[in-house]
Amino acid sequence: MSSTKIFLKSSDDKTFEIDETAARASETLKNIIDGGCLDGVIPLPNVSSNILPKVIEYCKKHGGDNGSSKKIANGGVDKDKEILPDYDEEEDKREKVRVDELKKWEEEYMDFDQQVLYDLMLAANYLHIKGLLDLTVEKAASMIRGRTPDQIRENFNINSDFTPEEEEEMILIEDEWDDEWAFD
Amino acid sequence: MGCCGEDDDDFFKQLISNPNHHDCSSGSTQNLISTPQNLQNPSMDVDVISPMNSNFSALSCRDTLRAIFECLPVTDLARAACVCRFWNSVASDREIQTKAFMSPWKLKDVIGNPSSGSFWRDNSLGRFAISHHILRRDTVASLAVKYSVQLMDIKRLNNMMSDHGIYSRERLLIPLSIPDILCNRTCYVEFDSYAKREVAVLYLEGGPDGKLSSLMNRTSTKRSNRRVIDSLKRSMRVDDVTAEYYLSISNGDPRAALAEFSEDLSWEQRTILS
Repeated sequence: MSSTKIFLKSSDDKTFEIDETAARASETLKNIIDGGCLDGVIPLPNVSSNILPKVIEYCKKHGGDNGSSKKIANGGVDKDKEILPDYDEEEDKREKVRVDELKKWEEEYMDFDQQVLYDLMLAANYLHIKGLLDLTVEKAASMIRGRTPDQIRENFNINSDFTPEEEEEMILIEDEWDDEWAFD
Repeated sequence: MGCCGEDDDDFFKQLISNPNHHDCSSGSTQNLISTPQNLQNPSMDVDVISPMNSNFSALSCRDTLRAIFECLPVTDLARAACVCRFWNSVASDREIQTKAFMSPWKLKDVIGNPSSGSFWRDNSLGRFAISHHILRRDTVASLAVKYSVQLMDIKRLNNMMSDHGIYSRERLLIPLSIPDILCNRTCYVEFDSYAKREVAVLYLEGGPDGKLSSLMNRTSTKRSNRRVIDSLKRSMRVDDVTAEYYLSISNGDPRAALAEFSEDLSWEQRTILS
């Protein structure tokens, strides 16, 4: 089964190859495969050719195309192992190393500019790849945390579209908020 | 100003310096359509995933923006709401706000609507309190020991001037000493008339018995009313209906009722004499 290849077509008509097991990391692709709607190439009109290889790279890492990552995908099996008396400590150590390795890989994988981040986020959302969505969303959230609205706007290149009245109102709310703090 | 005073100043300065910027790229559909990249792909929907208008696409998609906001603590969520209209609409969503409010304490649920959305912006431990229904032998000191909190903190939270008179209240709010108590619990947003503010109240024994207590109140007031009428009847030496009449014209004040009654009595005597 793992040898089955699936072809994905990007929005700009470029075709990419992916193993079926890797493709199953995506809920959307999994449904297409299981639904039997597969006839050669799956068109992905919402994902461009510069993002799709990145998505495929993630799927390959997490789609369970090698034995060890299957285990992480199937948490139940792992837990059973812990209950068994002949539980292998070596196995546990190897698992830890693998998780660390995966973290390192993710760190390297996530090293790209903002543009790619947002496109990847949308692609992950569209293809329902939860792990990838969590990764990208977390990175975007880290760009908001601890920053003022002004800094956030600068970060994300957004202009305020509030009317002067609304700004006035916001200042009032802000004051109320400060008052509350003063009482606490 | 609060602890983020300087930040706010910057924020407002910026607001004041360019108040005519109404061209927020995220959220406004017209803008998305008019971007050049988008014109190259006219077949695409506006909120569809595509390599379009710079980095705004993901930030103007409600789903992904929600996912981002769900990773934020309350203060950052409140700031994100000040960025632009679209962000404001997503960040002001009740579900996101309550989620952020509950997440650091692992609360199960928050029930009730605060009077202002600003309630959700502060989820410090001071927002929470345990509702303690006052029992016969309770004293402020005993409650302080029972819940292992400072006596002064109980008094401060409930605006108590003295240790006495806790029996005139139905309940006291107990400040939280251990945040773990909140884990997997449900809180009720209530305005406490003694604390004079909205508090996320935790009931350790069951839920809030609002209906029950008001019912008990009614029966108890009925009973106390009966007692007042009885004593009035005795001191005036009149029947039920007369006592009730005088009590009603003096708005339930037995002293005023008695004064009214004696005035009438003396008037009667005067008219008989003359």
